[in-house]
Amino acid sequence: MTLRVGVVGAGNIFERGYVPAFRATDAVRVTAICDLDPGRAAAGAALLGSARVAASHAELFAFEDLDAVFILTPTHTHADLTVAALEAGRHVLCEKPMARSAADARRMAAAAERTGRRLMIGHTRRFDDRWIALREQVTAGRIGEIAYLYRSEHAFNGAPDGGWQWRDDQSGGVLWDVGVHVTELFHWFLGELPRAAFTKVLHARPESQAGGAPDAAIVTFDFGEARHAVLSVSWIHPPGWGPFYATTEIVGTRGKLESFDRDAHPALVVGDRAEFVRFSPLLSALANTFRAEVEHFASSIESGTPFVVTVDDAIAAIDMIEAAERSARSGRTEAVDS
Amino acid sequence: MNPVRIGIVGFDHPHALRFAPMLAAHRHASLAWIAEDGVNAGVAQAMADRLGVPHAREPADDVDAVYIATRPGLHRGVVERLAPRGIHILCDKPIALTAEDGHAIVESARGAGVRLMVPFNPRGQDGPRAIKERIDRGELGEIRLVHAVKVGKVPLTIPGIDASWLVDPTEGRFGGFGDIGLHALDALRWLIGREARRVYARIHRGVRPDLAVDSIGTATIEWDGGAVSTLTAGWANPDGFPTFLDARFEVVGSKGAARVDHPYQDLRVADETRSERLAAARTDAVWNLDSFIDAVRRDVEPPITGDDGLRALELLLACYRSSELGEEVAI
Repeated sequence: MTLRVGVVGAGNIFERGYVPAFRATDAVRVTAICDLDPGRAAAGAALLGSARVAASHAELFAFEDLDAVFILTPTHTHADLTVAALEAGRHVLCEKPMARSAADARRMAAAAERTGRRLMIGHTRRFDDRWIALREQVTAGRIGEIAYLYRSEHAFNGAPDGGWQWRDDQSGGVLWDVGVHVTELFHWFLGELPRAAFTKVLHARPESQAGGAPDAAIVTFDFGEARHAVLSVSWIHPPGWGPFYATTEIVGTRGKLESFDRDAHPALVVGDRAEFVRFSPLLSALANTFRAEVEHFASSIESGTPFVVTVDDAIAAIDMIEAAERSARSGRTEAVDS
Repeated sequence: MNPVRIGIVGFDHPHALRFAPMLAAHRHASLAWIAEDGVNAGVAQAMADRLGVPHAREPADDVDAVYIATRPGLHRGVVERLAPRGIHILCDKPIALTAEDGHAIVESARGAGVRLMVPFNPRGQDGPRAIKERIDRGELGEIRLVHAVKVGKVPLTIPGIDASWLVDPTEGRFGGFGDIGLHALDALRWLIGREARRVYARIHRGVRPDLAVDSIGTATIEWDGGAVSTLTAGWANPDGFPTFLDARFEVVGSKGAARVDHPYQDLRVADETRSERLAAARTDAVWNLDSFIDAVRRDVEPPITGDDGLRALELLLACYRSSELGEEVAI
């Protein structure tokens, strides 16, 4: 069976993450697409060949030949669009972060509950073979009890000045946009919420100062007397930082696990200068990650089985980020509410 | 010019195993004696025999300088006894266990007019030094973020010396975070070139709950000028880890970023059960001893002063204060 999908939002993540996945799988077929920018919607449709362009998301939600909607829009629009799609009877795959606030995230969860439609948040790390392999080592007891977890995601954000990613009210900056990947990973690996968060953020680049969204964040999560986790995310590293994008370190009572992007690049090519061949167009995910995510979404709907990343998991990731954001503002540790 | 005559006071610090033969072989220094009366008296005796120098129970004052490798709680007594006799001091880290003792040590050396240096490894490592040169030349711009990792194995595994004081809450006081992290706290001060303003830290016993002291911690420090740094330090390397130490520095400025992944030139050795990377060159130890001996010979301030040692200690104490309080603290 092929799931018929309507896409809302034909921007960066659509083009770099989802289009290659759509091309590589027959689990879904994009039948419709819309974007606030009609030209971008048309270009997106052309990339896929078969999709027709809708004038608005409302028009798209009403199309007959549609099983599910993918919400691939800026973060602050996720809640309203997701609720509307669910109420139109569509299953929804919504990009991360689930929403710009925990309250909005819960509104989305309630709508899924109410309508009986399926909702999944696109936490790609769950479909990335590297983190799956790391998690397997943890659950196999290889390193004992986890005492410390560190995850960094450091890069240059090339989004244009004034764009939504630099707007604090729309994206929440690197703390929300990238940080939510990290909090979801922490919650996934540790299986519990932290007690509290302490955060330092920077507004270093002019784009960040103009839009108010932080462009670097460091959060220490308190997971009890004998365990803590540290999130470090940045958009202020130089444009060439790619080969060092992510670092994961996990220390347990019996051992240690490490994964460094610098070790993952398939080749080093040297001409006039040295260059790592990128392992994926999106540094944060392997090339097949989005395909695995899309296929999991389709097959879980078909079989009626739970998603590997549940709505509650996504809400936990948001609760952690919201506490971290409160701490950045108060300068004190903040309890993680659930 | 005569070589600097140096005695070694105490043999508790693991660095003593490395420094003793280096001092004995140094072109501009001579090793006079090793004075150690405690649990490591046997180790000191064996080292003295090997190097052909006397093993003494008590330090004498027939030297130009001493290297103090006692447990840190004894540093102050040694300095206050020897500095007034005009003996220059290389005092291993931490300079003391309390800020009060640290201040007394710095004042004692200053009052006596002798040189006082505290050796810190990253200052002498080629990678961090290369970054520091670029920072000083302005190539990275204004420093914004620094990420540091410095973790090692539990020092009980160091062969040849009884370093159990390091895991003793009274003798060592600090655990893994303090033992390993102090080097990096000094390195952060040095790289950033500013003083710390505020610190938040989580330090705990989670990695080695069998020990009475902490084994891991992370500190987030805000510096004058607005830069923010993180440091994770401790005894987080399992015995099977290929290197004793895992150290990284990542510096992000407004114009560029730099990163050091491992500070030592290694050789690799593997057998049926395990693979190891052995530090084949310890340029940091060479640099620290050279710097001290040079400062004494030329009568100049050493590149790491007693005051630097004290500032690093105060920063470390603030980390522990924050961890106990569960909130950020001002320095």
